[in-house]
Amino acid sequence: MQSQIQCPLCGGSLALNTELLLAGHSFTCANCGSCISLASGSHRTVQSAMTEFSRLKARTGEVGQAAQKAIGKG
Amino acid sequence: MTDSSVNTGPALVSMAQQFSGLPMRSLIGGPLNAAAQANSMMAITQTKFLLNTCFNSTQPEGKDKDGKTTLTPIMVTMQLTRGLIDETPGEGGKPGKVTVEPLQTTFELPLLTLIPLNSLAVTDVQVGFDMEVKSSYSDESSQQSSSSSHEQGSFDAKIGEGFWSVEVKGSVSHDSSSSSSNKATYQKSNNAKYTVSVTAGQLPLPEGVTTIIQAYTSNISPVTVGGTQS
Ligand SMILES: [Zn+2]
Repeated sequence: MQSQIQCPLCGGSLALNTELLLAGHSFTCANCGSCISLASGSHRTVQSAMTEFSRLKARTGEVGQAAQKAIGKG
Repeated sequence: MTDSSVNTGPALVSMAQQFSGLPMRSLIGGPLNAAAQANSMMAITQTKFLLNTCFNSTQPEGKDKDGKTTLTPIMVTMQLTRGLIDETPGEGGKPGKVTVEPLQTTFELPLLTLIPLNSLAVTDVQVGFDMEVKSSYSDESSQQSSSSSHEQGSFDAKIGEGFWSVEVKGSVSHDSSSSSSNKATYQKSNNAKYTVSVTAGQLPLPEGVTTIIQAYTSNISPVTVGGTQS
């Protein structure tokens, strides 16, 4: 679950893992050494979005279930 | 060892004959179609999620109530910590003192950036139809034979003439034994099974989403917390 952002200080590419951010981890820019983490004030917003996202992700299995159902009909 | 007592059984049905008449198109196409339909339904749900979770919508009010709804990306605050090098020059030729002070700043990032939307993609749907046609013939027979013969004979002959002679002595012996066993199995089965495998993976984000993310992240400017503006 990686997201790519630009380092606000040097413009370098920085990969963030949202789940780790929620767990309190910080990510260091390989280019300038700055540390990026999620501010505590935004924790709840990201957490609830991720919960909803996980629910959605779990539903990708429905594609396979639809195929299975069609087999049953055939 | 082949033996006439082994039954060769009925003639096998040809493979082509076993498969002919199977509606392959609908057997495989049906489930695949259903998967495609489910996938497009999912795409709609995902778009709704994107709009509802990652954007604030503003409904037009008053006179302008027939106007368009405005969507503004929800921003999250990120914390950025960097080391600020402070160098105190040394006195009287002594080396200076270098300290690294952590400086904390914050910046805003669209929530959209932190949600790995591209990993929701179903990249591959495989509907496999395995049909096993096994035709083999079965009859068990075993046969054993053993024979043994032993012959022995000897002869003696002397041919001599004058001062030379040749003496031939010989013996003939023969042993034989044989044993055989034959087993053939006949199985006939027609098995058909489906396998459905769905792979979810990462696909590139839609261009529209990428544009929004870029517009909001290319101008990230950190705000220094309790210190000098960086
Ligand atoms: Zn950097």
